[in-house]
Amino acid sequence: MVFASKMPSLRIDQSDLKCKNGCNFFGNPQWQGYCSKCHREQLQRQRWAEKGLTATLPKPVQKKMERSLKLSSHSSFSKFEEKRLRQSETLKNKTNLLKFSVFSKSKSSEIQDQTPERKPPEFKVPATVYEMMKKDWAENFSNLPVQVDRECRVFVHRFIWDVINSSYVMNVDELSERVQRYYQQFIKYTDNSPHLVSAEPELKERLIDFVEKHAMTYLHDLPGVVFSPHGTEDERLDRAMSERIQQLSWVGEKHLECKLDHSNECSQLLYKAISELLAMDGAPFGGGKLAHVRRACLHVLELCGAPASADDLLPKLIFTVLKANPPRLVSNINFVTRFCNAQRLMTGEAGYYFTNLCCAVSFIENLTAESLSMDKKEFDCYMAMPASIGGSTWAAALSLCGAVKEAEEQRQHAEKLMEEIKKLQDDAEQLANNAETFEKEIAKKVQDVLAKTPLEIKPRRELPRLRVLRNSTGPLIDLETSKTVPEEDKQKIPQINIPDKPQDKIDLQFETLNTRTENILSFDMDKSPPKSPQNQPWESKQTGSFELLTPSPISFPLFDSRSIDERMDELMTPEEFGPDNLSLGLSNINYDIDLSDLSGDNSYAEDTPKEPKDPFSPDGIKKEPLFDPFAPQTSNYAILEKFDEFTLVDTKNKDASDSFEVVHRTNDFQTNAERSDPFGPVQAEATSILDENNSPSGACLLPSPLLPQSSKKT
Amino acid sequence: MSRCDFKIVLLGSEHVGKTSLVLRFVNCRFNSGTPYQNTIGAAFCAKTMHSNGKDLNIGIWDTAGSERYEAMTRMYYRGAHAAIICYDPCCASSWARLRHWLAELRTVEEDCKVYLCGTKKDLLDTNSTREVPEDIIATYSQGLNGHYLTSSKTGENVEELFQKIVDDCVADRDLMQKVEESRVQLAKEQEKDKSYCLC
Repeated sequence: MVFASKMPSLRIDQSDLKCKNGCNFFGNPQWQGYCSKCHREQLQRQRWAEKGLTATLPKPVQKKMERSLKLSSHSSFSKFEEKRLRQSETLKNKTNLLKFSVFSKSKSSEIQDQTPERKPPEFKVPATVYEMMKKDWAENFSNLPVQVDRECRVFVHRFIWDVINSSYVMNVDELSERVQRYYQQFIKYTDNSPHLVSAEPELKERLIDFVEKHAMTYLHDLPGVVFSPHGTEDERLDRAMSERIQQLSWVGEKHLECKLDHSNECSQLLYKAISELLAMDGAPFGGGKLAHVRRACLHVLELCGAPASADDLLPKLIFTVLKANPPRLVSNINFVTRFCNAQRLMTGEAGYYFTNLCCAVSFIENLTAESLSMDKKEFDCYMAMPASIGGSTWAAALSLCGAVKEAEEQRQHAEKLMEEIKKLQDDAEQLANNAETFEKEIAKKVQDVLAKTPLEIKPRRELPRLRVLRNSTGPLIDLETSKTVPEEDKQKIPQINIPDKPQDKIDLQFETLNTRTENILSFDMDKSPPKSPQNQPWESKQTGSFELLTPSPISFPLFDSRSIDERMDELMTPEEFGPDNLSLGLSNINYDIDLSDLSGDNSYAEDTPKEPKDPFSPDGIKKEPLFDPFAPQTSNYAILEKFDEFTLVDTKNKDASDSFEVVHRTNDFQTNAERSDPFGPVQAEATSILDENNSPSGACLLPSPLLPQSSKKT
Repeated sequence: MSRCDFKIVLLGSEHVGKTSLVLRFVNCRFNSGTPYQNTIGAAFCAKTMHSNGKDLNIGIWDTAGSERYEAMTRMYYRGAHAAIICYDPCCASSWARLRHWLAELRTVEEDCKVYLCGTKKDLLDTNSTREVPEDIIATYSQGLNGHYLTSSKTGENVEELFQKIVDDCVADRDLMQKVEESRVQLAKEQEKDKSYCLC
């Protein structure tokens, strides 16, 4: 524009023909007064700016960065570096744009050109400012009258409007004065407002801060108004400062005569102070920046140890600033000194620390060999050195610090996880304990029930049925039964009862099953000796039946256990789980036992009495659902173990007992082969038996023993 | 207590006893076991004092005494209501530097009240020899607001010094306030004119 406007003038200065970028080539109006190369570069930059920067303007990005820094503190030193780089990039960009922009030509034209362009015809403070204010108000001043809230907002609006307008016509110092006057005005208001008569001075201060915060938060983000305003050299000074600090990276603690130990704690504190200093740039208003400075200084004070005086604070703060190299340091300091409430700045703690920071910065600016009390030649030598070489051990220590912090966070996270795992483990243990106690309780109950029930059952069964059966059966059997039954029955009956009335006790816990198996064993053992004497006479008469009888007591537990196990496995569904399956498995036992009694008649006789005892079954049915969950698994294992042992023992026993009879062995082997080798068929047989047994629960018991016998015979 | 009514700056060369003086005043104690360095954060101290029936917050700014930071001390006493320049009567060099601050304060901060404070009185009373002659001190303190010989160890004169400062400041402020009010009023009128101009 300037170029175009100057075209018509008669005398064209050669400098006006040259590239605006100042690179001695000639420019062209088609290229906006740049040479071709600069024009292309500028176009590229603009495109880049449109892509990258308009979407995320430098300020919000930084703010977000800061926020993430503060909140998650996931930051590492490398991030600082990154941010610094980005910042300097944006700065360069800005200054480049400024250089290219029309206003940089002359100061007088700047104001005239600027005003129409930058000043929107009707300025409106965005609603977000008021929304933020309302929100903040509700959080902090909800107890104050509404009028104050409204007046505050009106004041902020007037404040912002006026500052923006005056920024076009005033230089920075005038603007700063104007802003200060606004602050004073508001302080007066808080003193005189009828709504705030009774308010405490502290509340008034907060109110003043509130107004300052919201007005400045908005103004801060407007480019060139209050933060590094146009017409000042703040940006250039920022870069100069940043470069200088980089150049001085070789300055260590010994130069500044501040004692710092390289302990982990020390570097942690330094790290914190640095992060606070870096965060200062992100705070959008003076109070926030001051708060960051204050916190940074407090960290530094902590670094000094207990007796921190100004003599300790200042050198260490200088050192911290040197290591931090905060972005836009000069701009920030100027912003605070110009537009922060002066009353707060002059007095008070934050003001003191801010002054210290200013001192540190001015010390760095004017740093000479003398101020470091070192030889001038040495100093020059250091300064001539490229900045990248001069890094002290602190740079490494601090970057480590970032890693340490991250590692600590990770560790904390891991600890949390460990705690969770522990909790889970505890819960699991508790659950296991509960289950155990539950098991035990139930086992106790079951035992109690067992202890009670046999007493009741015995008399009922034996008396009527046995007599009837005895009458019906032959004399030989009578003798045997009379010998064996009284002994065995006492033991058996509970067992027999259990299988016969599976509904009652089958679902009882494995312990009870164990006891049963033990009983069965003992029962077998008891039986085997009586059998052998019994068998001898029987052999001649009833070989076939005897074959069937002998194996059953010994080998049947094996078969039975497996059948039970397998059934358990197969029939894991709760419905099937119930009494029927178990009853079947156990019913097999029954009938074996019956067989072992040597007389099918007797066994029937024993079985039959159990049928009518069905009246007990309902009780059992009621108990079943309770016992189901635990019984199957535990019983399985227990039975398996026990039966394996038993089978071994049994086979030995068999061998011992078989010595009497040749027939036995063959049959045993056959039966064993039949039963043990192919489990499937056995199961099938069993199931077939089951099926038959299933439908008529009690009545089937009588025919059931016959069926397998017949099948085995064939 | 973020805001203070008065800002008092402590000046003085290194090892003169500035920090001890502040700590003695703020915490009412002195730790001779670990002299010079004993409590947390003595760089800035705030204390509430009473004067003329009012509660007043005073902020005491400690400064770095080292000579290399001399150029920066100006920043510290900007806007200060009062300055205490400390010297050690047993150390001639501390007196020599005092004159520098005196001169600067007079030119830069005219409103600032200046108080001289000779520290380590307890040492002076016992055995140490005085290096700064009393008559010179007397001549210097004539144009100033006051001169005290204090001992941070015994607490002698410490309270009195600060009380005097606060009393002076309060008396001065009351006077200043009247002037201020009239000035603000003038400024307001000017402002109004300006805003009209803008429209």
